[in-house]
Amino acid sequence: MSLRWLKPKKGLANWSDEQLLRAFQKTGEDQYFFTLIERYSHLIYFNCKQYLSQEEDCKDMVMTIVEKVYERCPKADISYFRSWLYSVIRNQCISHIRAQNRQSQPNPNWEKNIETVSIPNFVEEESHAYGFSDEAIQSALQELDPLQRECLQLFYFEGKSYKEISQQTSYSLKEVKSYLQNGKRKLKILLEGIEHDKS
Amino acid sequence: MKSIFTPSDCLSLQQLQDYKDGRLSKTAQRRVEEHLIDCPLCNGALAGLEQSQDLHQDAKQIRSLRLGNKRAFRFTQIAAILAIGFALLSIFWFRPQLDHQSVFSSYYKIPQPTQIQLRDARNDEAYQNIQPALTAYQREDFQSAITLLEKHLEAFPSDHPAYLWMGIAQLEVGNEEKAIQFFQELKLKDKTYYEKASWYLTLTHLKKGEANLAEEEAEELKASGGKEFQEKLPQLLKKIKRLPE
Repeated sequence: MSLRWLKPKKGLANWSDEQLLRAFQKTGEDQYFFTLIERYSHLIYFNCKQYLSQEEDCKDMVMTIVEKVYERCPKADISYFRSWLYSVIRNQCISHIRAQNRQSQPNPNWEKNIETVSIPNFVEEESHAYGFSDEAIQSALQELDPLQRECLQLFYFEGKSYKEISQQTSYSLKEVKSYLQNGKRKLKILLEGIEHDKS
Repeated sequence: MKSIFTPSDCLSLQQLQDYKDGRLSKTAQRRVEEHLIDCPLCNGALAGLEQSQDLHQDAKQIRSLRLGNKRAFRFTQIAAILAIGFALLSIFWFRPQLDHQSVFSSYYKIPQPTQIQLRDARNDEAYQNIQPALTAYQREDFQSAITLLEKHLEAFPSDHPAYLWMGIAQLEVGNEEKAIQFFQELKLKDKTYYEKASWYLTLTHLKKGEANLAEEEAEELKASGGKEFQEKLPQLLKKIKRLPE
C-alpha cells in the first residue's frame, strides 16, 4: 500500500483521465487515482443526490463509490473512465436503495429518475465518430425518428437552446433533452453503419 | 455539423450551478447544453442539483470530501491494516498457554489389552496366568491389577507385554517413577513393544513435568522411524517444544 500520494507530482491536473487511469493501473500510486477521482467528486455527489435526499447519506455513498472505484480500477478494462464511473455510481445507488428503501425514506423521485435518466454512451467512446461527412450526417438524419430529427436540427442547425426548442415545439424540456440524447446516439450508430458499409 | 461529435470536458460545479440558475452567457450555455446531450454523468449531476434544497450545504459537503477524502480514505485503509495486524498479534500473543498436564491429557489414552496381541502361542501358561490381572486392568481397578501383575511377572519375567500393562497401571495410580522403570525395561527387552514403550515413556515424563526428558524421548522415537505414532508424534513434539522449561 503506497503512501506516495503525500508527495503528489506536479502537473497531474493537466493529464487526461485515461493517462491518470493507466498510470494508476501501472504503478498503483494513489496520487494518480485521487487526482482523477477529485475531478468528478461533485458529479458523483450530485448523481447520488438524485437517489438519496440526505446530505450525509450522499456523502457516505460518495465514499462507498470512491472505495469501489479504487478497488476495481486496477483490474478493470476501462476504455472511457467517466462512462465507466457513471455505471458504477448508478449501479451502486440503485442497489443501495433497493436494499434500504423498505426501512428508510428514499427520495420520492428516485424511481422516476431511474426510469427517465437515459444512459447514452459517451460519443467519444468511438473515436472514429468525429470524421463523418456532412452528406453522411444529413443522410443519417433522414432515418431518425421525426421528433428526434426535429430537435437535433433545431439544436445543431439553428443553434436553439433546450428552452427555445421546448417553446417552439411545445415538447417539455425533459422530452427535448431525451430526443436530443437518444437522437444523437442513434445518429452515431447510423453513421457508423454507413462507414462500415463503405469499408 | 462535424463538431457535434467532438468530446468536451465534464462540467464544473460552478458551470452546473450557473446553468441551473440561468446565469450563463448564450455561448457558455450552448457549450453546457452540447455537453449535456452526450454526458449522462453531468446530466445526472444536474438532475441531482435541481433536487437540492440547500445548495450551500451540498457545496460544503463536497468541499469537505475534497479536503478530507485522501486522508479519510487513507486513514480507513491504514486503520484496517493496523486492526488486522493487531488482531493477528493478539491471536499469537494470547493463544492458550500450554501446560504439561493438558498436553499429556490430549494425547494419553489407556491402551486396551484387546487391541494388542496378548497371546503368545508358545506360552499358553503365561496367557492363562495373566488373565485375572488383565480383567482387573480392564475394569480400571489398577491397584488390583498391579498386585496381580507383580505375581505374574515373578512367575513369567519374560512375558514382555505385562511390562506395558504394569507401566500403565502404575501411571494410573500415580506412581510415575515406577511406570518409567517398566516402560524403560520394556524398551530394552522387546523390540516389538519399543514404540509403545517409548510413546508412554514420553507421556509419563510430560505428566511429571519433565519437558526436556519428554522431548528427548520423543526425538528418539521419531529417529527410530516407527510408524505406529508417526501422525501424532510431530504434533506432540511441537507442543512439547512450546512448553515452559
